Amino acid sequence: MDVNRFPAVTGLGLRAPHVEAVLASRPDVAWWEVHSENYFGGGAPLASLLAIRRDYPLSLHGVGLGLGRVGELDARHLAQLRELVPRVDGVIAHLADRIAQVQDVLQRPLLIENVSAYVGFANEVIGEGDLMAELHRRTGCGLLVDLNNFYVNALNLGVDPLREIAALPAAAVAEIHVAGFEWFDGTAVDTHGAAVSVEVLALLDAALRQWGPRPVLLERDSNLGEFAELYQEYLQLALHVKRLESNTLEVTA
Amino acid sequence: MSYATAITAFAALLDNESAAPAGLLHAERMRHYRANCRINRVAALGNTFATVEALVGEDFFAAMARVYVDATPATSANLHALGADFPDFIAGFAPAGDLPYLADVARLDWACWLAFLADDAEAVPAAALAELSPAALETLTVTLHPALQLAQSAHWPLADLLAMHQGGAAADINAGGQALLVLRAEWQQIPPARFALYRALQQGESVLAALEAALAVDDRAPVGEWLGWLFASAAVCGLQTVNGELS
Repeated sequence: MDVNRFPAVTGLGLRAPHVEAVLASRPDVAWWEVHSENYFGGGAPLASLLAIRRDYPLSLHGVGLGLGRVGELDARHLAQLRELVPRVDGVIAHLADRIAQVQDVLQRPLLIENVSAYVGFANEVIGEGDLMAELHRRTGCGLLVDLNNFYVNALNLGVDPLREIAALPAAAVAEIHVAGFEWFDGTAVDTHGAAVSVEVLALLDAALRQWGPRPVLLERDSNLGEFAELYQEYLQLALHVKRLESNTLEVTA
Repeated sequence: MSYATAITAFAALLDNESAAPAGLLHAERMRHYRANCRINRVAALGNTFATVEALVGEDFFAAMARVYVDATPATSANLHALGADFPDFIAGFAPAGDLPYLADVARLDWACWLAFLADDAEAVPAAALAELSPAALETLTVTLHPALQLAQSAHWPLADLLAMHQGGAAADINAGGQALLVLRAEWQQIPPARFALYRALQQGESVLAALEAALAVDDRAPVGEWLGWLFASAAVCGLQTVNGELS
């Protein structure tokens, strides 16, 4: 299966408080990403989404699917956390099985995303990049690489983000996410509530050099502020990516 | 520790901070996961119960919502589906005891929320009624559109409070009980007899029984006009008789 590919340019996460401003001003954004769960049901939210889809490419991100779940108890909770995946004995078989099931139903490849973590497990059997590469090998799923998550894990758990990036097969990487984190009591928390850090931008350069041009998504979910402010950050990021790609990158996959 | 053991232990820790599983590193950071869950749920409640939040202010609302969230495990992964029992929680929340109308306002907010988020459904035209035999009419029930929701308070002026929240005149809290209907983002105050009619239809009673319920409240109520409004507003999406579903 081919993984779905958006144009290898920069897109922007669209959240409910900004929908009105976007419909009114039609900003110059290459593509939007929305959370599917916010549009379950009908009426005005769905109508506004359809209006945006008329003019822009739209990527739907399901945040409640919960591939890592094993039962009902954690189903309720973990979906709200975007998943914590203990990389302990049995993790590869469990996730490969769930991914294959969903792909069979949807008849299309899923993109799986690396997660931010604040805790770890003593008996981990595999690193996250290696786990994603193995799941791609077994199921044909695509990879969505969240560089802020790798960086948060580096700060909290000592993971080497460049090593994680290097572990991922370029051909499988379908999309890259960047976002900002905030510090709480000495822990870097993946709030998507701040501007993208310079370290994550440096990881983006490294990743694009390794993989070639890819769709890049700027995510912002909290401390949303006015749309105009986020739009400025988006324009700067889009320009940065465009320059980097036109100057230095060759398509490797 | 197997994968299933690890993930189940982690999920349990979200509810109960006392027991960290063996092998969990940085277990003290579980509070960030808990805080994240709680912040998301409190924010979602503020979005859903907007009139309640406007009445009590953000700080009081957040404090009340935190108590609710801590006492009420999430029943769905979809944040939009959470909060159906928040009005009942408010009714028993002692610090809000000075605001006896708050629970009914929360029920109104929940009705507005359901109306706003309901699935789209195809409407049945009034002409479909003409095809029914008199015998079929006697057993007719209707399915109301899920975007049509009702709210009523025996004691408090819900419509005046909602109008105030939307920029209207200050409400007199002692104006007495009011009922209203919500259809998507639109709403209107309705008399008690009209509320009785629509509520009976919504609960699956026959059209005849619903008409009787309305006339029992007000024997001069224009029930035919109110029934016609439902069709004209595309708020009926199914007709059934005892002999089978018609549309």
